[in-house]
Amino acid sequence: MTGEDFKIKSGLAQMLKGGVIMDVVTPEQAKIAEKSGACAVMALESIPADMRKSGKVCRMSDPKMIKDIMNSVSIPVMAKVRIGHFVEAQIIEALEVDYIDESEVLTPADWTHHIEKDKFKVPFVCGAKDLGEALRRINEGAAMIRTKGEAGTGDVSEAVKHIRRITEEIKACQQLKSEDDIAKVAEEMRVPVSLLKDVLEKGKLPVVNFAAGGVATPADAALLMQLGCDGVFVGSGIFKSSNPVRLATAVVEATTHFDNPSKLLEVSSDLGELMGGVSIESISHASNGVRLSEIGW
Amino acid sequence: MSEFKVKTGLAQMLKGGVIMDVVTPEQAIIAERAGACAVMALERIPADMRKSGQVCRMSDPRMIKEIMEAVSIPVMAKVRIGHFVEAQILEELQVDYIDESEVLTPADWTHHIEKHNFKVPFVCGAKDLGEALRRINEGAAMIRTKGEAGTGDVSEAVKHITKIKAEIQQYKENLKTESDFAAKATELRVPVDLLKTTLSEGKLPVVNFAAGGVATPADAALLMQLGCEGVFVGSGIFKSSDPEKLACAIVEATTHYDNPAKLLQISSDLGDLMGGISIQSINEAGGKNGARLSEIGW
Repeated sequence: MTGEDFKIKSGLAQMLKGGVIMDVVTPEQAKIAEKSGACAVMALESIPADMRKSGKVCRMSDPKMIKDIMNSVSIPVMAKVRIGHFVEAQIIEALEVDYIDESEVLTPADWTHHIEKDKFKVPFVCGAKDLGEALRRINEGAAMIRTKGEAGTGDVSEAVKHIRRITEEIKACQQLKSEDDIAKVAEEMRVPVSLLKDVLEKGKLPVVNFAAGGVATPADAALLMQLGCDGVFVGSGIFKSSNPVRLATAVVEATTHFDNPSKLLEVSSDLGELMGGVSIESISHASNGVRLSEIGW
Repeated sequence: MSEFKVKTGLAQMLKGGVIMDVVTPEQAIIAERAGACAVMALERIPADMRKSGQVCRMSDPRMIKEIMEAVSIPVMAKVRIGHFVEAQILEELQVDYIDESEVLTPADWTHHIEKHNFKVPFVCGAKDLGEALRRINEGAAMIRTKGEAGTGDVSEAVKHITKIKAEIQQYKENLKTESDFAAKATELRVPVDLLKTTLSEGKLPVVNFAAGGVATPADAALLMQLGCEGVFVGSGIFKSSDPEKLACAIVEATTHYDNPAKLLQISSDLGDLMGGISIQSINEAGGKNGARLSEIGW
């Protein structure tokens, strides 16, 4: 990867730190998100909760629709492409979106190769459920990582699992004594030794790591921040609730004041009907579709 | 550890009492009047949560606050397993006890809340001795059985209290040497001292309440006779045709649990009780009626 480009791209992503990125499907929703203090919006044709239900192939959104959203707000706009679909990424780059999410929420276009992200000028965000997956994505050029919690469920437990696992794996690898041991783990993870070493030295990923998937309440956002996430993606949670403006503001506040219980109490009160969601346990049993975190590798 | 003593001491004060699930201030007032020693403030009762299949979370603090203002007895509220931020929020709200509950959707499938980090006492569910001691070791000041909430079927709660008692008895007899104790403590993943105290006292170092599936005065008395120190009643009361009468009857039955004449008197003419759903039918439906709650938590 070209070092300078990567520095610029991961530096851009650093600017989102401490912020909340919200899924929106219309310019009106984008405006609500901006007004509530979102640091960016993710432009989508339908939100993950509805995609899950449809069982259809989910693709890049119509660029015209993304353009409409870009024209309606001044904060950065992200858009999703299918895993491995580098042409969708070329199209979105030409549209000049601010970030691209190569996302397991859409139907993968390639079950072996992810996009070679260091060929693009636009920064990419990718999901990861463990350290190896995070480092493979970073090695391909991802400038930002997020957990792969179960989008569209309103169940936060998968996102919790992923951030905890990455933290624990970094700690465990830091105990490795010899060069050989580190080389072996790097090989297992299919990443360059230098990248792994860099992570172990700093004790964290070289790019920001956001929480994503299943975040539905201010308490969920604060939980993931306390567990070490650098910011939060909120999807279906906000616009599936009875009072989106109020909830959006509350999630932003909770992400900023994540370790201030009295503030968290204040913003958690009287939020109206929250997203009903579907518990992850019930997905394992039933016909609610497959587990998204199993997609991507 | 002295703080732990304060918290477990607080929980001791609930001994012999009944804690009732309530979803409105009106229900809380009925519970208080019937003689409940505390109420559990919830948005929905477990029987309705089960049916929904949705994600269940901490209740709206505003709603809990309204219940706190409506009664003078202690108010408890539930948080998701492992969701320590929901617990921080409820502690800030100054609820009297927090229930880290398998009835809600777990937020963390590996870690329970580090309960020693909080000033507010916690109650946790346990279906066997190891689970009870792990929760106490994390700082739980009170244990309850993990009967199947929302079913009105008492058999799981019976199983859990019987199991804990049997395990204490069995280990008391069989563990002889230091290495026996150490091996068992490792197996249960708890400090050996905690295991030893429990076995030498012949009971858990905190109160152990019955919870899950209690629907009649006879159920409450059954669990008390089996060694529980108090009773949680959930869906049973407000799913019956005469909640006020049933609530009073369960409180009476918990107090006079070994007095058959009294139990006969209060068990008569209670109207329609909670219909419920038998645990067998949950097993047979293969998850269609929701998973078994007692399987959640470890």
